[in-house]
Amino acid sequence: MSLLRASSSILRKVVGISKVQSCAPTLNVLSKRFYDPDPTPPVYDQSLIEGEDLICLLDSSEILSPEKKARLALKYGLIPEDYHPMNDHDFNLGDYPHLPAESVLERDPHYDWDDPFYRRNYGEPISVDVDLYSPLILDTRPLPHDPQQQYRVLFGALFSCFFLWWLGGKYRTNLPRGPKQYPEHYPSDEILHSWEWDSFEKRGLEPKLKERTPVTNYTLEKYKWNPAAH
Amino acid sequence: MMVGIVKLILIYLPFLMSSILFNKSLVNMKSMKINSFMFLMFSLLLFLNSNNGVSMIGMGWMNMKFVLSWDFYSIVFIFIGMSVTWSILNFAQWYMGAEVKNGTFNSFLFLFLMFMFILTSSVNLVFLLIGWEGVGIMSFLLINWWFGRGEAGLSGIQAMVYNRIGDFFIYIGIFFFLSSLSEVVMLSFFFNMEYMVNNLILIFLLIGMMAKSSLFFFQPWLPNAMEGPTPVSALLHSSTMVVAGVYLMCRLVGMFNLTVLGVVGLIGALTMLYGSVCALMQPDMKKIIAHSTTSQLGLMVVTLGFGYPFISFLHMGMHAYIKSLIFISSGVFIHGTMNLQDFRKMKMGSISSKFSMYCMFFCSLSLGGFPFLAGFYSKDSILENMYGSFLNSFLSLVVILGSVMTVVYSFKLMYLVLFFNNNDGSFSVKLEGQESFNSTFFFMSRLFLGGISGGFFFMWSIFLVMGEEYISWYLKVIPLMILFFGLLVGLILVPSKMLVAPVFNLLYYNPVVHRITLFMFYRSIKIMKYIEFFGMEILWVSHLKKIPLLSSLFNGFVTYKNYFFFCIVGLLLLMFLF
Repeated sequence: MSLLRASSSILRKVVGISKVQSCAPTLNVLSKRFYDPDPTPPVYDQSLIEGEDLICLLDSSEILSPEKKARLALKYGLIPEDYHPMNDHDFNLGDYPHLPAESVLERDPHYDWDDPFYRRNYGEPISVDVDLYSPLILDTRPLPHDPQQQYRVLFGALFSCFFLWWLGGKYRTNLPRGPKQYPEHYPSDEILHSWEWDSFEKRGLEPKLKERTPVTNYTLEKYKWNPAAH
Repeated sequence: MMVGIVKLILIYLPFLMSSILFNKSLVNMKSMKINSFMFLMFSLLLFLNSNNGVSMIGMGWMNMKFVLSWDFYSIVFIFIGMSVTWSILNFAQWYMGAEVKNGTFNSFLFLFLMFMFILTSSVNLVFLLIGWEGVGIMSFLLINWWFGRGEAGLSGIQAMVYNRIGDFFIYIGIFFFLSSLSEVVMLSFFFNMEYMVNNLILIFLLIGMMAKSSLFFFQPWLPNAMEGPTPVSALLHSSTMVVAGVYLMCRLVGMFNLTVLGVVGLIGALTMLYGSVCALMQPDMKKIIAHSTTSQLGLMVVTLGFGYPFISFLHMGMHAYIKSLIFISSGVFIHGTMNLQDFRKMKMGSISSKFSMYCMFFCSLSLGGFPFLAGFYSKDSILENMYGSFLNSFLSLVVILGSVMTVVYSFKLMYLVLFFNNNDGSFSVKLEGQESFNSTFFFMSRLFLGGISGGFFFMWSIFLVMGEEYISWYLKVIPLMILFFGLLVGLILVPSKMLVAPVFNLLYYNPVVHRITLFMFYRSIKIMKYIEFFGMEILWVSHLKKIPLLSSLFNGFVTYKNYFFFCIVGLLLLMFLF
């Protein structure tokens, strides 16, 4: 094979045909293109956010004064009316703003966004659930019909189905039906053992037959009964 | 053990080789076909050589038996899967001929097939998971094939998320099996009848199968998966991948008790009703077929709920032939009308490929249960066996109602294809009839034979083990009545355009169910996100930064490296302390 390959490459060099790419780029090319051991851009190395510029803990018992609220809103690039911290009595989440739960698809598609795919401008505070409300995951656009009405109809239909199912289990149709009978076949045995797994290893593809013992309630003096003959 | 490994590798070598070769040369269809034919022959010979029904090949390692089993289900499924895939690969070559990465696409299809056969031929639940996850990831990759489109990406992720939820429950079920029975080989469940399994475990397994087979509450991913190319829809989302859940249920149904079987039947009935109603009012051709697949899967699951795995399995096979051919015909129409699949636009032009039209016509009839076509045999068996003193009467009624609706949406499909053939339409692009016939006839005719006469052969050759029944004449004519009543309803509803009325439009609940499911899923994992985000940013790292010794370690951003470092140090400290 290697000889063939070498000869073909030599032939190609002699004739002057370059190798035609007949398929998609293989993993080698992809890995060279996409694998970057240090993906951090150089500018980001020098930029430091320290101290008060980071998310800080808030005292849960303290009520925010207008001045402090304005200061914190300015920290996150919001107006004070829009700023509501995510701080909680039970679970101290700091002063990060609580943003509305709207998906990216709900925003204006015709506005000149800095990032048109995620429809956001640079410097905006990002929702905690940014991955949840990305265009590929969750869509919170209003539905074409009233969702409350749809929930009502859906759950109404579901629970009526549950009720009818329960009713159908209680009152069965006793319609006439039975398996076809053969001389050596006893349907009552099938019904009794119908839930049993009878493996193919045991019985191949043959129908299940019952072994019968000969029952003789008579004897003939002239012709004696010989069980071995049957 | 080494012998076992070598055997296992040798079995899947043809698939692996063909998928590797595909990247090197664009068209290597012939070798692939030969390989698959050899695989089929090999497995059939194994099956015929063994006097038993089950023949196994595999290896044991750490008290785990990774076993490939050639039993009734896997042999029949492999035969059906192979014959369907043979045609669909030819169709893919025709349909995706202009693709740049045609070879990659075909190798994806073959990798999918390999995983599918691992899934079907394994009786070990852990070994089965390899195939189970493999078909999931191949489905994701193939739905995402045109990943530049937002909808395709969204659908792929949606399918992935739904399958993940199901897999989570499957894992829990298998862990329970391991912990309580210390056994994961399915056959041994049945050999030892003293194994009594809690209903909760069976429900966990059932949820996994529901997600894989897009049964009720998990159904929105299947119609959205139609964003993928049509060969993918024909192979994965109608005949092979979505029936994996039903297939596993067929294998495990002997273990289900009557309580769980009732739940199985209820889920199937809801799915059947829902799929039929959605299929009735869809304008998109491929989505009608997808919803019809959902409803047929529901019918299979109802049959399992009645306790008839063989009939369900027969319907699975017949449905594979019928539905893949319907998908291929729809692909021919889509190709012919320059990538239109909405009937409201398609009816402006005309369709000149008559053979695809007849294929769709007869296969829709077959799906509706026209006498002595393929779908008739399975559907007739279901409808005859569902009466009795120990079966739920509500489920029987739902099956009859769903069968009527099946005929109605099949009639809608037939009507839209046959009678909306407007030659004076403004849409002038037509498929060259003879040309398409020449290229599509050979792979469509094989499936056409399967979809028309497959029922006869399968019924009288393989499924003879099903018993014969005596029933009354008025129960015997019910399938025929369903067909004629459904055609009558279709004749009233479809031409009068009542199905596009806003009242019917209200019945489209997929976004609602999807949002409910997603809401439940994301609410349950939201606390994890809080812990990750705020735990990393402020809670204890900011306190640690006040210590002068540690503050020199990190400035500004807390990176994942710092986070990982402190986690490890904390864990080590905890280990030393306790």
